[in-house]
Amino acid sequence: MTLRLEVADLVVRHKTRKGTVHAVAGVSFEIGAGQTLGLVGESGCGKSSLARAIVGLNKPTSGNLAINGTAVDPRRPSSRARDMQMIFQDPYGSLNPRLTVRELVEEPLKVHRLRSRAERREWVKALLDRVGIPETMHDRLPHQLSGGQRQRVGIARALALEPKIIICDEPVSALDVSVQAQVLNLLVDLQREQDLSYLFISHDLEVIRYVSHWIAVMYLGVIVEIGPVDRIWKSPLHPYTRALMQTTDNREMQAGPEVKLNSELPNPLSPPSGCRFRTRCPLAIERCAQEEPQLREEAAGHKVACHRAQEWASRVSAAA
Amino acid sequence: MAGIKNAQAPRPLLDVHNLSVAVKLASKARAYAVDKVSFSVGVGETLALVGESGAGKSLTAMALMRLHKAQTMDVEADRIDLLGRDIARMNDREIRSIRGSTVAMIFQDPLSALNPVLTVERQLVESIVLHNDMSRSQARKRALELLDMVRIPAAGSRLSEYSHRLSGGMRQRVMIAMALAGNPKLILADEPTTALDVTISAQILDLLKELQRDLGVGMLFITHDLHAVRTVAHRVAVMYSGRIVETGDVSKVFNDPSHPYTEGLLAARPHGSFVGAAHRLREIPGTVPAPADRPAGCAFAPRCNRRTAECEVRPPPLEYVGPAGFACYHPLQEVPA
Repeated sequence: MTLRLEVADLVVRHKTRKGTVHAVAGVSFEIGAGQTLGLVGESGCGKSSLARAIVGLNKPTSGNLAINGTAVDPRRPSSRARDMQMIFQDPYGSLNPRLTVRELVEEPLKVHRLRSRAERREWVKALLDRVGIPETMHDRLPHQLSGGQRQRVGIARALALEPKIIICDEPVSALDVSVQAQVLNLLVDLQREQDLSYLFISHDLEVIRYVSHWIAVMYLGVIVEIGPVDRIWKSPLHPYTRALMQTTDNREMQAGPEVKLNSELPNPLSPPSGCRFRTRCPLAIERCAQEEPQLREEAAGHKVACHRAQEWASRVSAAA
Repeated sequence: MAGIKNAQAPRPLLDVHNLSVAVKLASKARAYAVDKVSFSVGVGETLALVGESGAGKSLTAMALMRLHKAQTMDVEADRIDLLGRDIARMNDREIRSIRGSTVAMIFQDPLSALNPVLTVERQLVESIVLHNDMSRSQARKRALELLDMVRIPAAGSRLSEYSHRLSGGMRQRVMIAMALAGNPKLILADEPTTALDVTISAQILDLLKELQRDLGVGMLFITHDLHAVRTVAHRVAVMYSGRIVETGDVSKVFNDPSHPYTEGLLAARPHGSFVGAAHRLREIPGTVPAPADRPAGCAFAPRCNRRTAECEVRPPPLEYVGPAGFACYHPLQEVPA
């Protein structure tokens, strides 16, 4: 399996009036060809900052990026526009209201001076056809489309340059359930047809589970648990992941420590010492305040950053 | 009927008969955004109104409390009984005396529902004094009690905060405390957890469920989140394009739906991994029609794979078998009469 995207030690800091927020505090992962890494976490955990830094919409403070094994400069977005595109949450805000559907999809090709005019026309038609926008709608403006149709246009636009990596930032969160299914099916089909790699961000665990090969759980700027979808769903080890799972209808989770959260995300301006999750963790011990846990491999590909994970690892994983 | 435990029908607290909301269109035409819905909420019972955007669920709640936009909308109803009084016939002053006291509302977005220039204390004390015969100092004590009740940590220090200084979850707790200030009998909760993160939303749902049980109030819970319905509600009414298409006990409707839309909605939610099973999600083709473009027959017919010519003539009536009802000519299973 070739590695499509490698992210190493990515750090994103935002300066605010009240101090510096470490939105992303050293994140590493990789995504293989034709694979999806699902990224979950609460708002404010840094998942969108991470996505935007990878695509180049904001500049990472430090870190390394490699696409297909070749290092790219993470601070120069133009170096990767043709390999990597993004699909946004709000399909209304992300489409220029004064361009027609056809122009919207054609725009990236014009920016990158690709193909002749006639070729562009044909390609745009093929793309819109593929995402299920009928020809009668090609001259409409975004406000004349439904939410689902707008998101389809967003997808066609992201595919215009034939990138191999797509960063999907909450692509179905703004859509109704019945339309969500249409868009998720489309994304999954496109992945299979074109061998696409997705970084798929969502706060909806059931959606993440459906689309992902791998799942990473993020908390206050760091990944606290990452592993193959089945492992994370059935035998999550980090207390935070277990708490998230309890908010779903997950009935397959193996017995382990019961975690119920009674508090909210601490101020990201001054994250807790040691383990960032300890202030909300019912299982925290003294060591958690002193020492920051590192990601450790508990099983093939399944890594957890928790001092106490090993205590229940054998119990939780036994049945999986 | 097996699977339905409900035998003791609770005395209805709110009983709504044929409530409609007509939206005036530019062309002097009228479109029914809510089209003759009937439902009831019992004492100590939670009824969830569930549906996608545009189904008319929020409008239904607004119309009940006469908070709809009167310039562009008309509300019609045969009867809306609240504690035995018909509030559809009440004048605006009488309705006002009910708002906040007998019936309280919790809105989706607490930031815009709270007053940004008043402290939590001012707002809480204001609603307590308005609805109870209390002095300011008594009201202040009561405010603290209420904040404790909604489990705000260090409640005393929160009293002097402004709403923008609170997190989303805290704001929603303050909203709930304000709703409880008038000792309501019925709570209308309009998407109270939609704007919140999953872990916070789980806490708020637990809180609402407990308060509802401990105080014995009735609750009309409006949401598009099927998981939330399962967590808090006893009964559910599924709305589609301004009409109730199916209603019944949560376990019945979710495990054994009769209406193709309910079934499609449940199946459209991801429940598994495509990587392992390579399964596709069930789609419901098309979109919800706007009230003005609603077809003459069943509103769901154009998207339904069970439709026949019959469905396109007139909308199916909501027919009850015991506590469960559905509006469909071709339900998923035949129910013995």
